[in-house]
Amino acid sequence: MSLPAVEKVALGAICALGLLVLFLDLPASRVPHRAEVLPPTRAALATAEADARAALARAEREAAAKAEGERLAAVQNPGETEDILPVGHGREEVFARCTACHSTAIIRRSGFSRERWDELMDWMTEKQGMAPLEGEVRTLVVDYLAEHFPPRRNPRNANPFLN
Amino acid sequence: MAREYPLRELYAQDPERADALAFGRRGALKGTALAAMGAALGATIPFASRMPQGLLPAALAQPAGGTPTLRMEGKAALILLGERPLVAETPEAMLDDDVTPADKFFIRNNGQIPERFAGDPKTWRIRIDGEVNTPLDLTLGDLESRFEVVTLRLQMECGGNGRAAFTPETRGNQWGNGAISNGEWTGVRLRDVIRAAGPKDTARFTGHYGADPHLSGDTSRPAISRGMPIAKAMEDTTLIAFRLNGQPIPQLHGFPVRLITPGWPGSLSQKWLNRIVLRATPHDGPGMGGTSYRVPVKPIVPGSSSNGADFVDIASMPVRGLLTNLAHGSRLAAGTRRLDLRGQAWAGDKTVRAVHVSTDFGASWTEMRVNEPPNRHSWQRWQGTLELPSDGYFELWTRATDSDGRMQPHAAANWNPQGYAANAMARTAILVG
Ligand code: HEC
Repeated sequence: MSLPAVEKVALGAICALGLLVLFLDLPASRVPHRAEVLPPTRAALATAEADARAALARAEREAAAKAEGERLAAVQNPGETEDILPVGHGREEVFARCTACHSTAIIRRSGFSRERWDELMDWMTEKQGMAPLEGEVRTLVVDYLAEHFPPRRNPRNANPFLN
Repeated sequence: MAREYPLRELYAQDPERADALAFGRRGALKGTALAAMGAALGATIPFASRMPQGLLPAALAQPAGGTPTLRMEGKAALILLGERPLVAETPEAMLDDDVTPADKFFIRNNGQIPERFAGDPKTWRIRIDGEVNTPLDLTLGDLESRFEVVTLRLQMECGGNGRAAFTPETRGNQWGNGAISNGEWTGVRLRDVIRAAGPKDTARFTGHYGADPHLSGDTSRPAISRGMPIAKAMEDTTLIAFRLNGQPIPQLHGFPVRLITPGWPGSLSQKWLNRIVLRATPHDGPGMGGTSYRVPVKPIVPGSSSNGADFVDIASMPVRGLLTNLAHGSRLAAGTRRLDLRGQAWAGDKTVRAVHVSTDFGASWTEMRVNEPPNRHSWQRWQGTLELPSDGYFELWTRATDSDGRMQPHAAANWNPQGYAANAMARTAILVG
């Protein structure tokens, strides 16, 4: 986690505030060297001070947002490799095509028949914008999914109206 | 491992045989099978003869390897269901607080988590347009200064809470019963904001939009965009919220502004809210129509295919109760006979009239005391005591009854392809001795 941006702005803001304080504390006896530089008005000073504070607050918010974004990104990217999926013909294609949008947890949690997996491919294309999966690759991918992620069905609960 | 959990393994490999072995011909556990089951669980099962056939003991239904845990700053150790989209469930025993702390809120994302809004939160903008006379473009600052600010305890529950109980398993995150929260939300009533926009007679439905990008990163595609009938939007507990438990809403939960639509599927509580459109027809965004957040009117065969054309949108969520002071899998000292129990119960738009707990697989029930909700749409605390007859393995079944007299069923009912609105009673396995 690096904070160079916020540090820079913070330093800038502190310098600005420091200068303001110097101006304000200037004893009346000490005449400015360069008479042509008029001391800023109180209103201008207040505005400058408010601007500096706002800049600091903004920088703090930006840094906090960035740090939070990094933390959330780390949680959302578990750094999976292909071997998180069971060994089998088609694993490489499935890993390559199915992890652009989501991690594999969503696949590994699922247990569907070949027919349902096949339907899901169309759903992913129609509703979620996945590139259409066709021909041999589709067969390869769906076969792999159906083989390794079948319904975890208790035969005792099998429905008599389905076969 | 293979030696340690023979039955568990047998159930995984061949449930029919395991069931036959363990339960015997008529489904009653007996003889050597009882001994085998007892050995597997490390105890005897006092109410074995009442265990319904085909129901796995709750302790065995748990995956042997345990579930992954979320490790994240600002969040408790929730059950991690998926990293991207980030989805995590609150263990039931973590829901003991009357007001759910932010770190214990369950997490459901449909898309990516957006970058935190780095501007002054007061400048976040929300548009109200569509079937209104005066479209509004309001900042969070405007909301706070122009409308009455209220604070309420409100349930927010995923439409798929309890889904894992469906047989056969359905699509969707396999939630137990922990996709529920009851935060103290501060915000303005959506009703007041809609009135300020001057709704036309044709304003009959809402559609909601948030800032979370679609999982694919495609910016033209909302991750999720659902809507509700105007009557729900006009309820005095439906809020445009900007504080949770007195603090700004955490980024993960919709900072700086989200909808809270209590008692209805959580997907209607749009996070990172930036637009509400009023419509003459039901909204058609992602998450509407088909089998999304919809359930059959005419029940379908579990496991069958349907396009959901004749399904209806889920409105109020069904009644549910949880035991929250004893964790599933708790081991209690030998000789423990008296159990002080407590938990939470809620019923969507309705209230909870009663909660009962059974230690004998539903053969007998003990009534608990149920508190009134502190405000409409808050969950309700229940508590009571139970006596156990002996040491051994018990399941505490918790069953809530709503204000219309409807109870939680033993099994998830009205099977639907995406697995919504399952409210089978909760089962907590404990071991005494
Ligand atoms: C273009 C992006 C994209 C790609 C590529 C993609 N998916 Fe998905 N997928 C999604 C989105 C979005 C969801 C919905 C996530 C949610 O709501 O949690 C989803 C959900 C799923 C689900 C859960 C469905 C349910 O309702 O339970 C499964 C399983 C799944 N995808 C498998 C796959 C497989 C297998 C592949 C590769 C063939 C794949 N996905 C490729 C975007 C994608």
